[in-house]
Amino acid sequence: MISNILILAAGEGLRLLPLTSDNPKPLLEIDGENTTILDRLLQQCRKYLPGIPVKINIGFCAEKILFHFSETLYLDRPIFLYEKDILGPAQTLVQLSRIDIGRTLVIHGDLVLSDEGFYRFVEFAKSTKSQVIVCHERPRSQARSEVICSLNQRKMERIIEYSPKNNQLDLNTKVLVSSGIFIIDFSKVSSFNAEAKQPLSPDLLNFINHEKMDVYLWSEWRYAIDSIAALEEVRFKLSSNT
Amino acid sequence: MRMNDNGVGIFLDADGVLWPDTGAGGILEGLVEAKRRLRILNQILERRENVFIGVVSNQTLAARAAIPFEDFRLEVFSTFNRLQEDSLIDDFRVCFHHPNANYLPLRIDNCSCRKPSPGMIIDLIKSHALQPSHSLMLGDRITDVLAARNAGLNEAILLLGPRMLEANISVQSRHWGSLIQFRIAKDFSEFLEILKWWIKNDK
Repeated sequence: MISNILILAAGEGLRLLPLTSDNPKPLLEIDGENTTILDRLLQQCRKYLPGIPVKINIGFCAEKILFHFSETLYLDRPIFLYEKDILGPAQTLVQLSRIDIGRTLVIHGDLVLSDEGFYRFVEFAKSTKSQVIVCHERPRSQARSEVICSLNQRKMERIIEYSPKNNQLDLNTKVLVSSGIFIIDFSKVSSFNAEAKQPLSPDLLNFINHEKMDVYLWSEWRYAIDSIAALEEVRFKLSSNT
Repeated sequence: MRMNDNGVGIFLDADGVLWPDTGAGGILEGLVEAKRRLRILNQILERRENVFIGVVSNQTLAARAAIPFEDFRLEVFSTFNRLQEDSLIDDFRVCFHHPNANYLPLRIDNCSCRKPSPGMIIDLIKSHALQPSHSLMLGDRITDVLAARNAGLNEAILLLGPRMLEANISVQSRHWGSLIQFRIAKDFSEFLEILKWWIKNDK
């Protein structure tokens, strides 16, 4: 079972400047009704994983996130993990492994996920005791890294980062990439030596993959808000849904 | 943390918690408001014998040389003693030091008492046989949260305010862990609501 949920929301959101010049990316509104990226993720966690403590790590514009949650009922509020200096996701996990040990759902705080997809993923998560990496398909031309799986695609072998020599590969081929959602056993993380601002994958995930993470293939819609275009797309998507 | 366990400690900051944070001399006007807030807290707790209420406070007015130290010390002790005599708190600890004090006898860079150092909390824990794992801290600055964490308390609650994340980092860097865990409350009233809920649900 999942013992904790961690939403990563400490980053500076540089790819969304100027929208994030004085506002953290997870607080960007996505539906015209004041729902933020973070609100939606938290609502989904409460709905599909009720009773499991949610922690949010905060750093850049941390006070804005704290004041944002002051408007919510105190029973619905997460626990906060404040980083004075931005650690980066890998080091955040290493530090957290010294506070908490358990099977933790880690979600990047810039993801907008379909309810259906979240529900299906949780059902899958309940069915396995392994660590999990959530993946989706992407043309190789748009991927920065690739999740290499066993032949039946149920276990991760490793993640590789693309380098210029990979340009010789067929760029139209679809590959599996990390979706920014993981279930990690924190007892496996504590001895990893993360550097400041190091991303989650691939080094950390390869390090903790000795027992082979399950691969969950996300097939419903999802958006990583890594550009203003993606933000506009998700706003359009959600306005169409309503 | 369960409010019915033995050795529960509730540690309170003073400025910004017992009375509004009006600067370093807030305590001189704070007694009436402190009594009002603490009476409600005590009512909610039904003055359980297993629950200790302590105050841990940095008081820097004298360090700033704004008032003679001995006069200020008497005022501060008088205030907290009166709260103790009225059974509104069980005990208190005060740090008068400041690393940049204008009044040189109080200029100490690395005392063990000034928050975020955990000295005042640890001292109360030892004196009253409290369980850190059953205890919480309420403060209005991240330094209060750090002191609680450095003392090994189970919970730290940060009251929201414009200066909540301020800290003199150059002086206090040795106390910063990499991740600082806490909950938030909008104000003292909401903290009391949270406490009520914990008691009702035996949390």
